[in-house]
Amino acid sequence: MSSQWMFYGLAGAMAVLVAGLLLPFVWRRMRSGEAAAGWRNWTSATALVVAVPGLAFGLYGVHGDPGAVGVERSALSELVLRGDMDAESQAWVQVYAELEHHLTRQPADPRALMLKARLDMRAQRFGLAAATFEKAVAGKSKAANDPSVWVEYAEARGMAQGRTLAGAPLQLVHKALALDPNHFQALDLAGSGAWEMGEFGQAAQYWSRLLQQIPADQPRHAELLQAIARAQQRARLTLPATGGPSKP
Amino acid sequence: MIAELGHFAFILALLLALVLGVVPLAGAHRGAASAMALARPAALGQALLLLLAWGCLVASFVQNDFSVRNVAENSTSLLPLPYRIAASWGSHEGSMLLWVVLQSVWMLALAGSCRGLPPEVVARVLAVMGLLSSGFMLFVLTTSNPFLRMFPIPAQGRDLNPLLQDPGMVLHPPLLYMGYVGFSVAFSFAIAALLGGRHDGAWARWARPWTILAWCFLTAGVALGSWWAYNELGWGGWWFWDPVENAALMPWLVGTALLHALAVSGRRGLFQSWTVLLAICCFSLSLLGTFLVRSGVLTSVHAFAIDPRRGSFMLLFLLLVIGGSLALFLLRAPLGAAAQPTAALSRETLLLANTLLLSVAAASVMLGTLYPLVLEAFDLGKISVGAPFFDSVIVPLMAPAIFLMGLAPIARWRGAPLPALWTRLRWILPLSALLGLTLPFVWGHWSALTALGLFLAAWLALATAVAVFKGRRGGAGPSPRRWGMVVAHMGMAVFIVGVTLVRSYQVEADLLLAPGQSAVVGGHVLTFEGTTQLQGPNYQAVRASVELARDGRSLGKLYPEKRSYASMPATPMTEAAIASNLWGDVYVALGQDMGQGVWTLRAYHKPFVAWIWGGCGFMLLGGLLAGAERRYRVARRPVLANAALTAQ
Repeated sequence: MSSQWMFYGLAGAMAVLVAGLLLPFVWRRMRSGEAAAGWRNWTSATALVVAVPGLAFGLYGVHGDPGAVGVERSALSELVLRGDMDAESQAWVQVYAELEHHLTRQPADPRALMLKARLDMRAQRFGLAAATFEKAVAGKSKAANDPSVWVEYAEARGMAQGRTLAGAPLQLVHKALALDPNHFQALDLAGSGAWEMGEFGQAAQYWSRLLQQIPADQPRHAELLQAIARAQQRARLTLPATGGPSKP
Repeated sequence: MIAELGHFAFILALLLALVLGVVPLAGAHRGAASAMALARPAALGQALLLLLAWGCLVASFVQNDFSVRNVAENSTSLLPLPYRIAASWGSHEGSMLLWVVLQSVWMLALAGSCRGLPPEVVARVLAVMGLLSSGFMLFVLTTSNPFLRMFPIPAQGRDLNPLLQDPGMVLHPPLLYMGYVGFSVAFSFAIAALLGGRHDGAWARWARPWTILAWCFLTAGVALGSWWAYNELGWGGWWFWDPVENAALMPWLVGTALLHALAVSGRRGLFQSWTVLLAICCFSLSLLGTFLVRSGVLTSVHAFAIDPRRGSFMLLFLLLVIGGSLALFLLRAPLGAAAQPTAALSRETLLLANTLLLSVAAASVMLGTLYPLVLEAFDLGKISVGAPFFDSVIVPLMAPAIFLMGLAPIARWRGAPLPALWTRLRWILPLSALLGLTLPFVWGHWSALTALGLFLAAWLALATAVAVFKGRRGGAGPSPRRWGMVVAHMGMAVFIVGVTLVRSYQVEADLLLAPGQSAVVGGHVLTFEGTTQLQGPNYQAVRASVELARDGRSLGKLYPEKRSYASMPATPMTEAAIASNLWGDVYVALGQDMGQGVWTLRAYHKPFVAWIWGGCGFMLLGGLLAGAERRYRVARRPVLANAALTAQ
């Protein structure tokens, strides 16, 4: 017998026991013939005996999680934690379905929301990912205080709106920097965003801050140095003329 | 599967509680015997289902089922088994489940021992308790469900808060909650009396043993919490006037007043309305304490908004219970009834005065606890109300209360002339004053507060002894109730000695010691011998070794620790080492590593500090003795239903 059937069997036994506790009440009502107002008909008592177990199963359907009884979730969780799922695989589909099921019961679970958003990102469903990240950082959840989550959210928004950081994605990057001014990916994206917006001086500043976190012997250090030099050069080219009277 | 079974059992219990809250109450109102008879089986079923639900949650913790969110967030597989079990009530969700489980245990006990009470009283009392527990269960199910699942299932949990990994914290919450919810029995009897219009002393006699038992649990819970803070927090304090502590002290003070008022109401039929009001206030303060601790409002009123559903639900429930019961009190209590004349120096009048003083003390504690929260809530600034306020308010209120505590057992019911009372007091009053005035010189420093404390302790102990002596001469047998009073009052005297002496004569020293160096604290020589590394089940520790000696004689070694738990590596925890005996504690806490083997240590000598908890232990024992009174058991004989009662 599967554990799910065993669970329903035991839950049913509990419900029957509760009904058994209430049955003497019906029996007494049938025998006593009490005629006080509202208590004339023993059918109301019978309805109570039926309603309590019935309502219990109904409420459990809303609040409980019968799917948690099986062992499949443990196996799927191990796959998720190992992080070696192929985005096209059957396991991936199962995990995604399990997450969606979990979120119908706990729609504000930030951990599950983030995981689902990351799966959407891997499946290149950027719009869905952005919407899910938005839910994850809503309110005062722990995710909202994690700059990495804001960066991921910005990436998803940026990809969803056509691989550009202009507008909302850049604002999200700035939120990440407000939480951690030296966040590696946030500085990288802030620099790229500023470059995209033509704010080359800003881009050079962000990347300079990023450069301090990269050891000089890494290839990324040299690449970033070149990028900063290019940004500074462009910034000089785009500087407005100084000294003359400004136009009204 | 186990957690899901617990979840289903909890839902069934909630529905049964709703049935219990509605059907027997309606039955009692309409005189339907079959509906009233439903109360006991429904209470039994609810209790068994809740115990099953709680057992399932504990089993999930024991089995490290991290698919349950509550387990994953509050336990690890490395946690020792007793703490894994205690972790089931270490979180908000688990502790709220514990609350309803313990209330159901009270209901079960009541349902099993109330065969002799009139059926309409049983129906009303259990129904009121059913309504209360259904409110809490709805709160748990909708805002604080401990059975919610996690996906993906983490490989390891986050661990229990290291501060809670202490033997004191294993027992403290269940005992405290047993006290809190135990007062719901007295509350339910009072509400049942109001609903039934029964304004004699019967309800007080029925409610008194339950109130005494609840008071015992609360006393044990508060004392254990204080002992935990003393041992675990590393500051050497035993009471901080912290809002969480005050939340427990308020119902304790009113509960103490209530059990004395119940004695007068039950025996003499006096002060009925006052006793009902105390029963309502006592449980209301228990609810207020739960609201304060569990809504997040104490961290900051703004923390309330982190999960507004919880705070709002609890506040609404609080308003409903307190507002509803006070409205019922105003409508149904015999407020306009002519008061029976009582003599000024009668035992009942003195007890009444004492209950008033205790209630005012509780109100003062409430003011000091809530005032800063109200100011913050209305953005009127942030203030901190601490020990100076409470000391200056509580001492003037409790000093006369303790004086009356000594006087009341000597006074007679219905009163006696002053000269007769004076005959009983003529030597203990001057002797107490003499002891109070002179004893401080023994410790080398005299202060008015020390003298007052020692005077009150001596007065209470001597007056209680006189009450025993006079009682024996007067033919009063050695009843458990009387011995309970004696032991509890003696316990209070012991407690006052402990508080007075530790506050007046404790010595504190911040030390900087290299291995081999010594320092003298309170006449004790502490020699620091160095530190070693230690690996615990879920922590790493630095353990210091400190040799303790007095008058050239070694008293053994102390091993204070600084622990770093894997779950909170940035926050090292202090494990103080304490050498304790009847005359005082030497308390050593390890501070900072200053390099080259040099450490800072904080050391205290706390004279008579063990008397504080010893006194609480005597009070607890006194309560248990008083609760074992034979007439409470005799009262279980079948009582003929009173036609006047059923007519309500």
